[in-house]
Amino acid sequence: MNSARSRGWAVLLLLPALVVVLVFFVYPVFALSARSFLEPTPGFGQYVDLVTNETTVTILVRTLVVALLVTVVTLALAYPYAYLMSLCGPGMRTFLLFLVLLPFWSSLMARTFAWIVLLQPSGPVAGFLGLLGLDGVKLLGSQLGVTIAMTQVLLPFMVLPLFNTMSGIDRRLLSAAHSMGASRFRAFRTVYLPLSVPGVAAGSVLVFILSLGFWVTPRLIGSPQQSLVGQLIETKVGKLLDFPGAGAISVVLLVITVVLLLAVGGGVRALVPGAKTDGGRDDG
Amino acid sequence: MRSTIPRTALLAGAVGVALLAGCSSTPADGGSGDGGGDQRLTFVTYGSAFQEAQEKSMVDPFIEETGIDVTVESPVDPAKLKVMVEAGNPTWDVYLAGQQDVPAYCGTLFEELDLSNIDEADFAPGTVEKCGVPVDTYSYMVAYNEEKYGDNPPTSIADFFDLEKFPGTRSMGSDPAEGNLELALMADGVAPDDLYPLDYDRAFKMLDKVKADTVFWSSGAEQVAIMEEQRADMILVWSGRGYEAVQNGAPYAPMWEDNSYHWASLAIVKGSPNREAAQQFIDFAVSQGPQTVWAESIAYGPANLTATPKLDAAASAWDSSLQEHRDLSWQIDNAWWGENQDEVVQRWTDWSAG
Repeated sequence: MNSARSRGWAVLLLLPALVVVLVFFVYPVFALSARSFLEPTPGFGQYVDLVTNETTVTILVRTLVVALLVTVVTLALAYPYAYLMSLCGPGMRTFLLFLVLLPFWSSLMARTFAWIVLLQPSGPVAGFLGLLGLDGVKLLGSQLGVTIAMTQVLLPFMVLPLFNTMSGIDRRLLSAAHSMGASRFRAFRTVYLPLSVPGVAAGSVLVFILSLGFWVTPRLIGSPQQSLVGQLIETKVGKLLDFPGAGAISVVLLVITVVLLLAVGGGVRALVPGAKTDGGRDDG
Repeated sequence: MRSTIPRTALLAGAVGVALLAGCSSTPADGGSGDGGGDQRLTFVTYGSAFQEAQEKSMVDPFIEETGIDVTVESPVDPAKLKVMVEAGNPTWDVYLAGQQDVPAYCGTLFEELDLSNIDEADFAPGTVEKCGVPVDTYSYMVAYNEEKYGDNPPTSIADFFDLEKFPGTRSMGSDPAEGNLELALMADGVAPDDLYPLDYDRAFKMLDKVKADTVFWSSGAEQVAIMEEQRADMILVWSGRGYEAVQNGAPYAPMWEDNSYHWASLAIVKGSPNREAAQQFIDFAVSQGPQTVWAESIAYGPANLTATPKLDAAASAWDSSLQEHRDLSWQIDNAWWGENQDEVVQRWTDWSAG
């Protein structure tokens, strides 16, 4: 059969990536997870320690709150931007896309150090806030500064899936809604917004999950008082050489991520019948 | 719609690039020996100027003298070291260990050394250990902003914690191994000889007084930046970094009272296949000649006190190995730290991040 043979080829094409993922991702994750259940004694000791340690719980909750905050802020900034991208002409669109991709062409470290310069007390952000009458707002070494920098770093991960979905939305549906008497706002709310949900879900999940694992930005811009879970894992691995303990936190993060992916996938399917979470492909 | 594929590819590509950028590391190599001898060893150390000064003063002359090929790598990484030793085939031979690492991992990650060629009297008391010989020193000490406190400078660590007499902002390292808890206790009146075992609650009570006004740094570069931007009126810094910031124009002065004398040690990685060459390198690196060149190449002190570096006045002002500065110093109890490191780090994390 033709399709069977092409499926065989497809599997072959996947093989190199599969091998890389198995060797460099699945195996180490499995090994670290296994240690969290086996050391120092087999069982759930590491996990009991984890939930009974006040600091670990505080940092986990803080990480979830920051990730949620960053997701909401990036969504609020990215939605209109992506909407504009889906509306404007090809030249403007290329320019807007260029602006979104610009951060990818410099390293995360360079961008984070740039933020340190921008956020310092004598820096432009503090100066701008001063003009608004907000003097002495602490930006470096504060949650505010960390959130601002993370939002900037993660913005493209929200814009691109949103744009991908929005560019697949048939705008004639909006005209149809207008012709049937819907106001612009109503047409947007009842037609466009639901159709863009898959992009919102994809972008939000991506940003949220990436936020959970952020390490460089909170470490360089924040103070220990703003530690996120990545820093906790680093302390356990790098300073305490406590691999089982670090493995336990990693497993908790992994479980949160998987549960979230499943929940969002299910939620989008329930909200938008026939929708796929991976972007603006038509089902027809 | 077919047209979505390029965009998806674009996204995937962009994500890939971002991941690569986030994960990139720069393996440094150095010590390009002539490869004459068949002996070789790998020395892992901190990077940047620190590494360059070590190559100039210790590695290159060693290669020249012995013909042993030395590869220099950076940075040090205790987690990587542990994995290497557990796997049983370490590619590192000589490791630059923080002072508390030496007793903590003696026998597990580090081999016991042959100290027959080392004269302990040449080093500060208590710094030569079974698994490590000190190779550089610095002080963890108060630097204060002269524009702020120039007329009435601080004269003891108690002043650092006294926001009423010395109102302003503070900064300190985010790693308790620098001696933050000890300094807090000393500020509360505990004598350096009575610090151990640490009274955590008493130390944190003192640290709580300044916590809200304190910026924590986590690297040497950050210390320099904080001083250059004057983000803290008093800062606990490494002496070498204080010197660097002042050279760059930061208006700070050193306070040597209660300075914490620190060192880093050379250790041999457990299971190293090149133990003999590693031992030879350590004996060479801590000897008088290389130690003198070392101290003249960078703003760190020589661990070997018989070294005779010639420093100008500006560098001497920040030199931790100067006798008059050493007279005002105290030392962390390494043996106690080796046994209690996990608990200290845990308690510190609870306090600082909780």
